[in-house]
Amino acid sequence: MKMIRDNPVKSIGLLVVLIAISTGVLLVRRNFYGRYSASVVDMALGFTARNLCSCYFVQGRSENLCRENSEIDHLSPTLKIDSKNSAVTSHFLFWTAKARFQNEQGCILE
Amino acid sequence: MSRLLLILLFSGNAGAADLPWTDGTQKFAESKAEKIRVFEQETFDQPEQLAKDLKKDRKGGKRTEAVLIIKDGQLVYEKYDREMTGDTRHISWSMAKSVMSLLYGVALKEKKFALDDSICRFAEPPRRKLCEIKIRDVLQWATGLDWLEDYEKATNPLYSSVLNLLYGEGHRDMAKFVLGHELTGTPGKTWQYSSGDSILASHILTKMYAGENLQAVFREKIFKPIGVTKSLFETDPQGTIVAASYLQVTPYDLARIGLFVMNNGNWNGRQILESSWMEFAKTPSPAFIGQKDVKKIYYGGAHWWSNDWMAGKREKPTLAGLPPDTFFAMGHWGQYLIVVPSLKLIAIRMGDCRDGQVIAPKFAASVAKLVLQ
Repeated sequence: MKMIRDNPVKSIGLLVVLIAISTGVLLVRRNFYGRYSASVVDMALGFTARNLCSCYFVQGRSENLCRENSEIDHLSPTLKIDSKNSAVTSHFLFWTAKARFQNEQGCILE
Repeated sequence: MSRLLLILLFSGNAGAADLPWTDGTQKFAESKAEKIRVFEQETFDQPEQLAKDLKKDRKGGKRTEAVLIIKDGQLVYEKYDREMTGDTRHISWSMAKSVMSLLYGVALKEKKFALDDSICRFAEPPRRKLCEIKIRDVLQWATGLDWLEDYEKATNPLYSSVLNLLYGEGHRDMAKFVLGHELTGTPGKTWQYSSGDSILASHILTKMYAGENLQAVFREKIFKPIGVTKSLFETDPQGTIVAASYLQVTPYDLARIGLFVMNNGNWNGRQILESSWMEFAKTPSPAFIGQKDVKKIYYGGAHWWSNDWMAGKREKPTLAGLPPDTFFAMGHWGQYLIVVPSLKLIAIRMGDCRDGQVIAPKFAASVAKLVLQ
C-alpha cells in the first residue's frame, strides 16, 4: 500500500504489465490447469480454416455463404481461399491455421 | 484443378431414376396445404421473427437449410434454403457418429470382433489400464475416459476436450489424443456422451480393417450397396475418419441411410449388417440406464439415440408425438435423421442453427403434427 502511495504511476504500470502477461498466457499457452496446450486463438483459427475449406471445396457452396458460416464470435481472422492449391488459411496476428482439400479425404486441418 | 471439376469427380451421378422412393410431394402439398404452412413457419426462418433473432445474436435464427420427409416409401416433403439441394453435401456434425457405427454391424457379420473384446485387441493405448475398456463400452459411450464434451459456448473452451480434439492439440492425430486421456470412470458403467469415444471407435475400425483404406471400405460395404454416392467422411492427417463430426452428406444420401437402418440394415433383400445390430444400436444401454442423472432427455444407445423411454427407464419420450421404436442420429446446430419403423417415416433436418432454438423434440413435434395428424 505504501509502495502504491509513493509510486502510483509505477504501481499502475506494473499492474498493467501483470494483466497483459496473464492475458497473453491465457491466449497463447496452457490454461490454468495445464490440461491442453492449444490456445483459444489456435482453436478459433482451426475451426474457421477447416469449416471454410469444407464448405467451399467439399460442399461446393458459394464463397459468401461459406465465409458467413465460418465466422465466429469475438475474433475476426483474415480468411484466404487459395483455389489453385485447394487450401484455406485463417490468419490473426501471429497465428495461422491452414486446411487443405485432399479429394476423397475431404478437407484436412494441417 | 477447378473446384467444379473436383466436386464432379468425387460426386456420384445417381439420377432421379435411382431414388428408392416415389415422388408424393404434389399430392401431399395439395392435401396438407395449411399444415405445411404451419410447419414451415415453425421450421424455417420467417422475416419478422428472424429480425428479432438477429438483434439478440448476429447468427440468430433457425437457419434451416434442408428438410426432407419420407413416408410409406414416398418422398412427401422437401424444402431447401441457403444454397442447399437434395444433392448438396452438408456437414453432419455428430450424425457422423451414428453412420460410422454402422460399419461395426458389417464387421460383426464378418466376425472381425466381438463386443466384449478389449480395445487392446486393436488399439495400443499408452496406459495398460485402458485395456479394461471393451468395444461395447466404446460404442455405448461408456469408456470412462476423462473427457469434457463442451462446445463453443462453454465457459472456458480451453478445457473442452472435443474442441481441442478437432481444432487444438489433438487435430493432427486424433486417435493418439483420445488414447492419451486417463481412465477416471468405470468402463461399462460411467456413461458420458463423448466425441472421444467415437474417434476411438473409428480408430478401432481402422485397425480392424488394417491394410485397407477405411473410407474405401465404407464405400464398398455400405455406401455403394445402398446407393450413397456423393457423401464422404473426412479424416485427420493420420487418416483416421473424424467420426465425431465430419461426414459430408447430402440430404438424399442421408435419406438412403435412414431407409437402410429403418429396414434393419437390409437393402433390397440383402442383409448387409448383422441382423441383431440395429436392435443393439438403438436400445438404451445399461450404462445409460444406470446413470444417476435422470434429467438427461436424450437416451443413448450404441451410437444412436432412442425414443424408448420405457427401456431407458425414464418418464417420457424424448420426441413426444412419436412412438417408442423411433430412433435417431443428431448433430450440432440442428442436424437430425429421425427414423420411425412402425410408421415407415423418415424425417431429416439439416441447418446451421447457432442460437439453440432448434432442438430435436421441437422438430419432431412439428413433423408429427404435419404427417400424423
